[in-house]
Amino acid sequence: MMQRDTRPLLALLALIAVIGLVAGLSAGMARLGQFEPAASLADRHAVFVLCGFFGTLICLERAVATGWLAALAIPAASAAAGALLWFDPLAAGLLFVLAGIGLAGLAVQAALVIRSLFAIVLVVGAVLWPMGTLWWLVEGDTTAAGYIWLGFLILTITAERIELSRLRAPSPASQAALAAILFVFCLSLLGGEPLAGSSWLLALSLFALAVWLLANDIALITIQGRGLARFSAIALLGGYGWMIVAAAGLLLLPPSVSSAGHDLYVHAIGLGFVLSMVFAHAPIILPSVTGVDVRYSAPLYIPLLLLHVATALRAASDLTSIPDLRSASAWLTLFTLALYVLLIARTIRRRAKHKAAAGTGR
Amino acid sequence: MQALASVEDPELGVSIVDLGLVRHVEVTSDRVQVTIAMTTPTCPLGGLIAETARAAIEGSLAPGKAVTVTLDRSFHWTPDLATPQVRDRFTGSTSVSLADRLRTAVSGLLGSQ
Repeated sequence: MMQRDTRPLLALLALIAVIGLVAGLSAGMARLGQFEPAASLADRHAVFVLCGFFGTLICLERAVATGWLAALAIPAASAAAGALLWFDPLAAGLLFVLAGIGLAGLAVQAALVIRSLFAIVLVVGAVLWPMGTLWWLVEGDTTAAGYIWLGFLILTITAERIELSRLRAPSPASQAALAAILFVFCLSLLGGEPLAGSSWLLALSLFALAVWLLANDIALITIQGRGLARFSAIALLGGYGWMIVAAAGLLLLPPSVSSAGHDLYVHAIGLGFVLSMVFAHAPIILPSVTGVDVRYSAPLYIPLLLLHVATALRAASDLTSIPDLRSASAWLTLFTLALYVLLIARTIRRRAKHKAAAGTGR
Repeated sequence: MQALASVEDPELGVSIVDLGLVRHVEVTSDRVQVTIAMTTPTCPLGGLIAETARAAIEGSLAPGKAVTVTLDRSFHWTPDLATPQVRDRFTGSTSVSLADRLRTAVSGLLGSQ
C-alpha cells in the first residue's frame, strides 16, 4: 500500500506526465497545421498575464479553499502552462484549458452545495476561462480571447464581492437586477462584442455592474474602518471607477474600429480593476495560499496610488494618441509592481525579527 | 471567547465571534477545541483565520493546554448569524452619504494608521 506522504510526489509525477502528453499532442496538431496560436512572445502578453498569472492565482485560491490536496493539481497545471508558454504556446494553451476545466469543476462542486447567485456567477466566470483559451487556440489571436478572459476575471471578482455583500442585505429586486445585468454581460461576450461591431450591450452591462457594485459592496462600509479593511475598500472602489471608464471607452473608442479603444478597455480592466483588487487582497491571500507570513502596512498606499496613476496615463495615451504617455505608463506599472513586492517583502522580515526578539526575551 | 473576539475577518474588519463564525467551543481541563466556519466554503482564508484563532487562544491560556481549531467547510453561513450590531453596521448606514464616508476615510488616513 502507498504511504500517505508519497501522494504529493505521485501527483507531481502524474502532472509532469500530463504536460508531456499535452506537449506531444500540440506538436502533433502543429505538424498537421491545425493550430496557429500567437507566434511571437509579444503576442503572448495577454496570455501570460490573464491566464498565467491571474488564472493561476484564482486556481490557487479555489484549491486552497477546498482543503483537498488533489485540488492543487489545478493551479499546478496552470502554473506549468505559464512556464510552458515561453516555449510552446499551443501546449501551454491546452494545459490552460485543462486547468480551466478543473477550476470550473471546483466551482460547480461549490455551487451544488451553496445554491446561490454568487456561486452560479463563479461557475460562469470559470467556464469563460477555457472558452477564451480555446478561442485563442483556434483563432490564433489573443485580441478577441482577451475580452472573454477579462470576462472570466470580472465575473470571478464580482462573485466574491456579491458573496460579501450579503451582509448589506440587498433586496430581492436588487439581486434580480444584478442577475439581469450579468446575463446581458455574458450575452454580449458570447455575441462577440465588442469586436463584432457593436459595443453597446457590453458597455451598458459593464457600467450597470459597476454602479450596482458601488451601491452594494461592503467597501462602502469598511472604508470607514481602519488598516487593511480600509485599504482594501479604497482599492476596490477605485477599481469600480475604472470599470466605468472601461465602459465609457467602449462607446467613445469602439474596439472594433479603434486599437486605442481596445488598449483602453483591456488596461482599464486589467490594471485599474483587476490588479487593484490583487493589491487589495495580497496581504491576506499570500499568507493563506502560500504560508508566507506577510501583512498589510500603510506604505502600500503608495504603489496603490501609483497603479491608478499608471492606468490613468495609459488611458490618456489611448485618448490622445500620445505615445510617450503609454511608455510612461508601462514603466510606471513595472516600478509600481516592484515597489509593491518590495514593501510586502519588508513585512516578512519585520515579523521574523519580532518572532526572534520574542524568542530571546528582548 | 474573549481571545477569539480579537480574531477578525480581515476583509470585513469584524470579529469572527460577532460574525457568528465560531460554531463550537469545548473546554476541558487539558484542552480547548474550537470549530469555526467561513462565510463561504469558497473562501481561501479559512486556514489563515484558524491559525490566527489558535494562536490567540494559546496566547490567553497558561501553558499546558492543547488547543485545536478546526475549520468546518460544510457549514452554510448566513448573515443572520452575525450579531444585530454587525448587521446594523452593514445595512443601516445608507443614510450616511458617500461624501461623508470618503471624508471619514481620508481623515482616518491622515490622522492615524
